[in-house]
Amino acid sequence: MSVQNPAITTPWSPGLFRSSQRALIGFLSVATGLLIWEAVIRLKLVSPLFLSSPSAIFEAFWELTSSGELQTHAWVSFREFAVGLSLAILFGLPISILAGWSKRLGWVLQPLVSGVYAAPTVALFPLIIIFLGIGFWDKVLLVFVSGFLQLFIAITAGIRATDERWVRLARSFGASQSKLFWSIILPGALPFIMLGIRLAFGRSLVNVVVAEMLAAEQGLGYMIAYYGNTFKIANVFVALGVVAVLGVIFDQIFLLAERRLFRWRPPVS
Amino acid sequence: MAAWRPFEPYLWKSSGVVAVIAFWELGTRAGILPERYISRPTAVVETGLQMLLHGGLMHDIGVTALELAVGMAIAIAIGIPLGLVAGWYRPVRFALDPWLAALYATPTLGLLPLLVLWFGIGMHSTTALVVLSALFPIVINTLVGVQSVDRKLVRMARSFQASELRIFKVILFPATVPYLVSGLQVGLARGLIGVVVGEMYAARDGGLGYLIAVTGSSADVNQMFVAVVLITAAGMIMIGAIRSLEQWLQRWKPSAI
Repeated sequence: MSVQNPAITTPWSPGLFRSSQRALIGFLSVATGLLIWEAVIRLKLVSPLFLSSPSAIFEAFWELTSSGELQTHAWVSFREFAVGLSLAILFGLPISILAGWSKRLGWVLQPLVSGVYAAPTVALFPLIIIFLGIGFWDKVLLVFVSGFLQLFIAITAGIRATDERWVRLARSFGASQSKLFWSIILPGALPFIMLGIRLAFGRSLVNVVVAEMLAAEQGLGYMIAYYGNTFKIANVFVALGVVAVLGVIFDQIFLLAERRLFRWRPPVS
Repeated sequence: MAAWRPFEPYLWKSSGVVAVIAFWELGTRAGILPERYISRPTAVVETGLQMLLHGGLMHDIGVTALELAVGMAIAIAIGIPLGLVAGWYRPVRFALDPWLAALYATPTLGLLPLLVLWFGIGMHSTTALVVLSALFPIVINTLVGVQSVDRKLVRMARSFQASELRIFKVILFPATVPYLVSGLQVGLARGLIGVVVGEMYAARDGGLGYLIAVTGSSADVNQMFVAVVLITAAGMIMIGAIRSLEQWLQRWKPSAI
């Protein structure tokens, strides 16, 4: 976490269990928290209409998975997420790299993108529904837009951060434009590209869930809204937990893949 | 060198925006673009003025601004002390870490149905969502900022018998400020998302997000664009304000490069 444009700050990673003292205190804190939570419900200090206990949430998880309901909804959300994000990467990557590389294209696109980026993308969702109706593609488009913006902001910033001295060095040795691009600009921007994709991952997942909460008939976000409206708090927590766990799993897989792919490169903090 | 050289970036920068707006305006007038779906720039301005003069636009702006301001104030009042304490005392950080990790992974906006249950539909649940959305980046950045403090400086201050309060004022806080400001920036952006989504999901007292949801379901795109434009403008103004706050707070520092 550093002091720069929030769009390109590294996501915080908690790095749990680095030391035994840390693990012990962390464990005690979680255990105490869960016990108090359970006790509050068991002693009926709070109505079960408003809060569910950890044991009830676990039971609800068991029920929802054995009936297959949870998997069905999760699969719907995953498809929207995967299709939207893939499209965003497919279009966003080349356009952002070009906009970072060509000064003039960057000048033209930058104000447009940062203008739209300043507003929450979800605000455009009702408009998207007017275009596409409620279903699969409206969520895909929302994910596409937010993912594209995120990629653009991170990647153009990365390319502009290329060390001017390397470029001058390459030029004085007579490197061609394409040589310059493939040997200096692109490798230099890779960490930012990866960071942009990773940030887009997180945003996309949230946007799928929010879109489903606002207008959908299936998906994890729909589950959250539906069970919230019908006072089945335990089920809401189950769906929320699945979203959180999916987010963490995607993030970890991504980091692992990044480490594998870029072993040659010294780590960039 | 031509005289227009220094103006070239501005020319290019405005050209994109102007081209999009011109294409949008002329395209809808010519009937190439469907005005029913995407509205028209001049129609949006007209509708906006009308809503400002005769409708309740000021009321909606006020509701959204109030929710955002109160939510941010609460998030700052909880987040900064919590981050400072957790950054300074290691056991506190170890105890908080798993909870922060869980909170970080959970999409805050997904808590909205629960907040609606707890606080009811209206300003309270939206404000609570703003608090939850903004709290996390503020706590984390403050925490990381405190940890970034040069330990040698603290040890030196201790050797010279500086009181804890003085260490905090002279060493800890100045070093934390840049992190704090960037936490506020992220927090504010998240808070804006929170306020809009909160109002879109469940509002009763009005607000710009509520306006978007209502006009969206009645397909009144002109009014919807007014709300979207206002939210975008709010976002840009707030980001700009935080940037200048950052520069102002950093003015004592010699330039890094």
